[in-house]
Amino acid sequence: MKNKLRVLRAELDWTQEDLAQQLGISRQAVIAIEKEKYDPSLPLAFKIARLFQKPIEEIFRYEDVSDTN
Amino acid sequence: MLSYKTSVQNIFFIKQQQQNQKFPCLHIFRLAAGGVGGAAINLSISYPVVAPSIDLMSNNVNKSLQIAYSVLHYYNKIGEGGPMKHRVTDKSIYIIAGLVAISWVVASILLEILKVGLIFRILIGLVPVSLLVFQIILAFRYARGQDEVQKRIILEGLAVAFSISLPAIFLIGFIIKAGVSLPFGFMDGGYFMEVALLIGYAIAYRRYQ
Repeated sequence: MKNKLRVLRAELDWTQEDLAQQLGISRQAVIAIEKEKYDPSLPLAFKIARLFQKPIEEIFRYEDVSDTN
Repeated sequence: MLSYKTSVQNIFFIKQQQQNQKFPCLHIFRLAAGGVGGAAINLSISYPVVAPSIDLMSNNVNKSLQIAYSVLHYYNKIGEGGPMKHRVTDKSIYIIAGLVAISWVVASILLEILKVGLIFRILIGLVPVSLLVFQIILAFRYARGQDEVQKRIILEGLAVAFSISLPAIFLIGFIIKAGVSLPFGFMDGGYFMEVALLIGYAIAYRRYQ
């Protein structure tokens, strides 16, 4: 799963800590999501979308491995 | 047009129905988040949006919906058992871990040197074990209070620790059974498991950095 969390955060000039506080998660979780090492749960993904006031599919993009071949 | 009472009743009815379903959407979200607490976000506040036959253009209904939002939010909090009042901190985990270690050493020494009755000896032995059980309960509560990434790290750490320690303990057991004299016994497997847990946690932690 690809995401634009880092870009969106940078647009608002937020630190990872700011975003973590807004979402009620740890900074470590923000790092893991930004680095695409962890795919957030549905509730968290919706919360992120709501926070940035964007549709969820605009922030998260699913990439099937078989599609890239 | 719906009155305030009717719209609230509608919302409560929908909420009740969703809770009565085997897999209501809220529970799926909760499941995806890894349980209650942490980042399990209260999405159910959006339920009134799906309430049927509500004229959203009406100011009165909008006002009643706003009230309903807050009522429903409160209702959901009750449904989830409310926010965790006494969240377990890192500090309390370290303190209890220290107490367990101290009581473990003291109990071992006392059992070596004291010449008392069997009941009393058993009671001495139960002290560190009781503290250990308390530590495990605290650790569970601590894990439940973490967000979903940290929960994942803790769980993966446990899985790695289990995978390391189980073969190691069996290996030691079979070596002892084969007749080899080792300077440690099965009880020392507990210490090994704690070390394995640290290793597992470190591996899982690195995975998400």
